[in-house]
Amino acid sequence: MSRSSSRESRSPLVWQWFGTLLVAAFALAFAFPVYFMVSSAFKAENEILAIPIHILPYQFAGLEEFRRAMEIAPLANYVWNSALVSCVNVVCTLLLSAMAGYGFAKFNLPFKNFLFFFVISTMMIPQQILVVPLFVEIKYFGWVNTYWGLIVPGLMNAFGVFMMRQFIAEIPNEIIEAGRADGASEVQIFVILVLPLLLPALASLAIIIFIWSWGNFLWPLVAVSNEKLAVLAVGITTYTQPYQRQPMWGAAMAAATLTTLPVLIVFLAFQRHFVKGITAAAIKG
Amino acid sequence: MGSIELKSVGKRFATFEAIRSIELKVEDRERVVFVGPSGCGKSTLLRLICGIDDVTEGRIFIDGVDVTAVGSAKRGVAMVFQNYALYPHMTAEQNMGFSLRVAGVPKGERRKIVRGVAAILQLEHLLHRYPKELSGGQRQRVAIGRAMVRRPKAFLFDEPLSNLDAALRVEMRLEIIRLHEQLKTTMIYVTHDQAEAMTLADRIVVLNSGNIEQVDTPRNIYHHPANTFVAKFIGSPKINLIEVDRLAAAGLGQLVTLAGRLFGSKVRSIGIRPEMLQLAKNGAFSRLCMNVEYFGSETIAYFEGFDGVPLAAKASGETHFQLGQSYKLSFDTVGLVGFDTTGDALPPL
Amino acid sequence: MSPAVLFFAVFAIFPILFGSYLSLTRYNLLSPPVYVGFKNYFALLHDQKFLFSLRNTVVFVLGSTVPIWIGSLILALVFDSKVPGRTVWRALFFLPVLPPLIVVAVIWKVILHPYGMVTAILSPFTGLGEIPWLTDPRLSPIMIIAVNNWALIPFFAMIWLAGLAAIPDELRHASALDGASRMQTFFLVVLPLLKRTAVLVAALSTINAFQAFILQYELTPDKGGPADVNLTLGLLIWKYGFQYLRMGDAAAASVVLFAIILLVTLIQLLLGRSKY
Repeated sequence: MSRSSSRESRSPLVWQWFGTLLVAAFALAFAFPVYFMVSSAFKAENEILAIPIHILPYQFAGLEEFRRAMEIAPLANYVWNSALVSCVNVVCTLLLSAMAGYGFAKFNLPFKNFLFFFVISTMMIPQQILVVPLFVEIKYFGWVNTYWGLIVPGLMNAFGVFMMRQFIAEIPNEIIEAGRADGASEVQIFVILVLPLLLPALASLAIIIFIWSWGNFLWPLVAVSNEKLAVLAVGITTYTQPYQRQPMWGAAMAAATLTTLPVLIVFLAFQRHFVKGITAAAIKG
Repeated sequence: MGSIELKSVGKRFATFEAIRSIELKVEDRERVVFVGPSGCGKSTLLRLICGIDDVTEGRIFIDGVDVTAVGSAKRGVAMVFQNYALYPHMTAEQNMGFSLRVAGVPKGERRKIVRGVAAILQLEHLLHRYPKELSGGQRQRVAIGRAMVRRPKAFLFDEPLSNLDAALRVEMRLEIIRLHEQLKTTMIYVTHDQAEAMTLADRIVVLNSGNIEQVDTPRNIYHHPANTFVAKFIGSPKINLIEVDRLAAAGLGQLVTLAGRLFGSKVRSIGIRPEMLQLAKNGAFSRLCMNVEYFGSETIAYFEGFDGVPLAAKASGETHFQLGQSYKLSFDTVGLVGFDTTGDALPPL
Repeated sequence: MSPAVLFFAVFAIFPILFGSYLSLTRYNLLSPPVYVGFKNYFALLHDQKFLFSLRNTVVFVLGSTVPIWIGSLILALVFDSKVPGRTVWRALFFLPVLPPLIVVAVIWKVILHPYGMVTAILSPFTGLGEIPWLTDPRLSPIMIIAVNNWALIPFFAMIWLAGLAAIPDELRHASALDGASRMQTFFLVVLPLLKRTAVLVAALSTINAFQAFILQYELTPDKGGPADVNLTLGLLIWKYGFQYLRMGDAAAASVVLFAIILLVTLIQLLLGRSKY
């Protein structure tokens, strides 16, 4: 987005300063709650709700609140479960979406267009309509309160199929035909020729799926009632809605920070890919 | 009415100096072409004149008025972009009428003006179409029409034909010339194609790395290039540049003496245009024929050069050459150009 | 491709069909489902809670999609301009996107505490030491909408940015050359070319808003209170299915939700077709 250094874009200095100030004010307002979460995670409990607002912790409580959080609820389990679910989700969704996308993009099946349209329209399906029957399904399989029930239903993602198809469609057919001419099997073609070319798209999709899965709330809430199997998203509510005590804000903020941290890391690490993925999806959408 | 003058104009991007202190005067109603290799600054220069970019030093005058600080819309020039820059969401008619609409001209009058311009460009039947429904040549004409509607003091064309196929390019070249005759407005045209420059220009400005190498009529540029760069850039096939030392090494002493007599002792290399190099029974020297290209209307033969670069000779019609055979060649001293060690041309004595 | 299709069938297509079937039953998970025809649907029509939730959902959808659409566009334009310190502001504005929505709810639960900082900041003007942001029937829906918008505006701004990036610079140059002021260029050239993005943002934010669940679950007393004023359709479905164990009713309500979303999205997409 380069703007040339032209006469056109100059406005009076006063407006520029005012505009910058306005932008800065809003930026800080938008950023503040997240900052508050992080700083509160390191404050002593009584400081969090203190007036006037303690921007920086008066007493740096270190990891005290994190420890507290682990005492109140099985925080480590939450983290492990979230990590497990999200990672499995990413790997499987990537594979399945890539396969499905490949099928839609490069093969001529009967009813292909109809099927594809059908898949896409499922993107519009609200979680709520799937939750009840899915729950009944996993109950039937005996998967309630198991990792199977927690992870498996989330593995198919229409968006993933859509995105993969768009990217795979751009791979020249000649490459695949050359592979066939060289005697490679369909599986070999897929794994050795197609997948490597998809790396940036896969990276973008991985980020999207990971973040979506990490924050997924409704399904884990419903599928699992055993605390030991809860994910972070659901587990964090135990700090704010306990049955007997007052909410433990310090512990809650600590857990909140912990939950947000992986998202931040994933973003920073894969920033470039993410922007590319969203851009492509938005343009092709 | 549409004269343009650049005084000491320079443009720097961060650390990169794209344009270095350019002096140029374009007369009203002139057709001037900026030509040069990629990256020479010709498009940048055009954008400076247009006002899309600002100069970092120097001044620009249009009709004697200093417009250096004036915004692009108010300079009274119109630009036809390389990729046409047509508004995809507007019909051809709306595209052409946009500048009028923005200026508040009422719809009825807009229509009249746009239709008038469309008639000149033979676009009347395409006015209701969207850019994506038009061919490359048609889009180009709409872009030109959009510029024409503004009745500018000068038209600026940024490589407008580079996206068209060869046949269309020739056709559009003639159209542009025809338009210029009709509108009698100054035109500045940027291209990397030296053939386009030669056919379109009243005067050519040859640019290289932000500097003007030569400004002159096509004829003069061709026959009297100011330096080796211009000599090599204009003319296809390229001029044959032979270093005097190489001639001596090849035992062609009499040619060395000839060069000295024509251009003085400073001469370092001579340039012979391919059409000046001919077969002759008592030719000055003989070379081996390495390659031949038959074009139907003419033949180009390549001979072993003196320093690894083949010599090109142009003959009309179909002249047959045998590969690997030696031929006697000679050249007319009239068309000869001489250059000194820095590459500048030496005037004939 | 076949494992994918199989998978999809079992966990996506089948549930929808099964869910539709369930909506026609009375089922409490303990005994097998009992077929009752369309009784559940008729019951919903007379169900105060359900009708109320419809109203609440519409309020939420309107209250979020409109400000989000406008706000994110403005934000994207700010990012696109040459404001000094742009990269810093961008990073700051982006922060709300990081925490998962449930974490967002937790954070705001603290910030909007009756004795919390917002009350404190406003106390010089209101003279009040305690404001029930999340427990007052009139205030809480507004606050929840505000929190939702806070979290989503930066996200949709990114989508707008992608759309803006797709507009070639040359078009803006051409427009400036044609004499258009910056305002004119924006409204006559940029905005029309953003139509596709505009429709995408509208559709996505609408679909998302209709499913509102997490914020209402976490930020309201009694899950939807006070007095069911924050009970959205999404929350209702969960309640009927997993609190009251009335699976049939929950399924019926979810079918209604799906139908509404489908209808609204289709209308949006139809209205947003462009011929260029």
